[in-house]
Amino acid sequence: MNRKNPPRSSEALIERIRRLSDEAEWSEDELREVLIDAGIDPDQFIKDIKTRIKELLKASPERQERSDYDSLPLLPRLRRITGLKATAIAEKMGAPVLFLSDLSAHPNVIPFRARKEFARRAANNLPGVSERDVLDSFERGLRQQVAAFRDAPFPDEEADFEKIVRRSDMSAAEQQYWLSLSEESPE
Amino acid sequence: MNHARDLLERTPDGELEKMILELGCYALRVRNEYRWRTRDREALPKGETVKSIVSLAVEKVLTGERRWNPTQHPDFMKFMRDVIDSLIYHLAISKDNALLTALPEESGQDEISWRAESDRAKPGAEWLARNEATPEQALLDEESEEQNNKAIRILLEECVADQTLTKIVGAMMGGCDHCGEIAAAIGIEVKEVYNAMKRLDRRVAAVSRRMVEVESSL
Repeated sequence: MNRKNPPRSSEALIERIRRLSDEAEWSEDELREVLIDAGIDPDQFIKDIKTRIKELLKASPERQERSDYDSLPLLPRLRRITGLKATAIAEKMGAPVLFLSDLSAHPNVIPFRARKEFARRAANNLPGVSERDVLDSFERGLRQQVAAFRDAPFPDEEADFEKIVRRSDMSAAEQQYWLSLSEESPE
Repeated sequence: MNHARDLLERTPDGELEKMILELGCYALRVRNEYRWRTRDREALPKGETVKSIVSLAVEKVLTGERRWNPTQHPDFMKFMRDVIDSLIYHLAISKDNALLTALPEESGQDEISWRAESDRAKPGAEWLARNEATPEQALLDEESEEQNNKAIRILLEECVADQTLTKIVGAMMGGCDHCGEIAAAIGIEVKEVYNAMKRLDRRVAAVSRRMVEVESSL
């Protein structure tokens, strides 16, 4: 027992009371009464602080950054993750830039098996990229209006996967391989 | 990564409301201490209020200006209380108040407990300390001592109808520093002491208000 530590002033006594009352478990009603005693409307107090919290959560730069990242189409996302230019990404992936650009611009027309294959290649060849990163980007289903290496937006065309593969300048064998991925799985 | 943001995003509404009330009551208590010390009717400098202090604390934490590290400080509410302490401390030392003379800050110690004569304050960290007492200062000290005595007298008057509170104040003035010690000293359960501390806390707030009213009526 400590009996040699009396408070040296009323201020020290008050500080001690505050500290010990902080240790107590306060019910919500008790907390409300404390605020009411001080002339503060607890409901208004909660409402105002909650509003402020919501605003800050909404406006948080980190959240905005995350949201921006989530909405990035495939190619800009790969550039963000790897820090590489599109040409370097294309080279590492063994695919023409135009093909990557088309995949990025028309994710909604890419067959599931082609998405999986592209994700696998990206994860194997690009530093820091996971299959999830690529699949998430495809799943956004967004149509990128401006391709990474074009001065003008894509014309408002009806793109399909075959057209994308055919205009890609890939070898015939490669084109055949990618087109085979649009066929139904034998399972 | 902002852990505080993650925590608040996941906190259910009911819990969030209780957290807000707890922070409000904490800021109020710290303000009461400040008012007790300064007898300042405005209570907080620069027109700040309990609400603005809590709002500012939340803002600093959610914008990352004050980062909560759960590994270092597992108790988020304790961290928030420290932020509130720090805000009021900085407000207090910024105020040109004749009662207060802050000691020069030591580097890295700007968030030490700002409470005068806190039993836990580090030696030399008492910001009410003065280098020399001039005759004018001695007079002020004497007046301050009178005010202190008056404050304790009013507190005891406020507690007179509640014998448990009177005994608790007596035990604390006798040197009891923990609820367990107080319980043993006056022969009641620790749980009863905690409940009584909550009542005492509210009496302190009432005394603080009365003191300011008396001051301003003079």
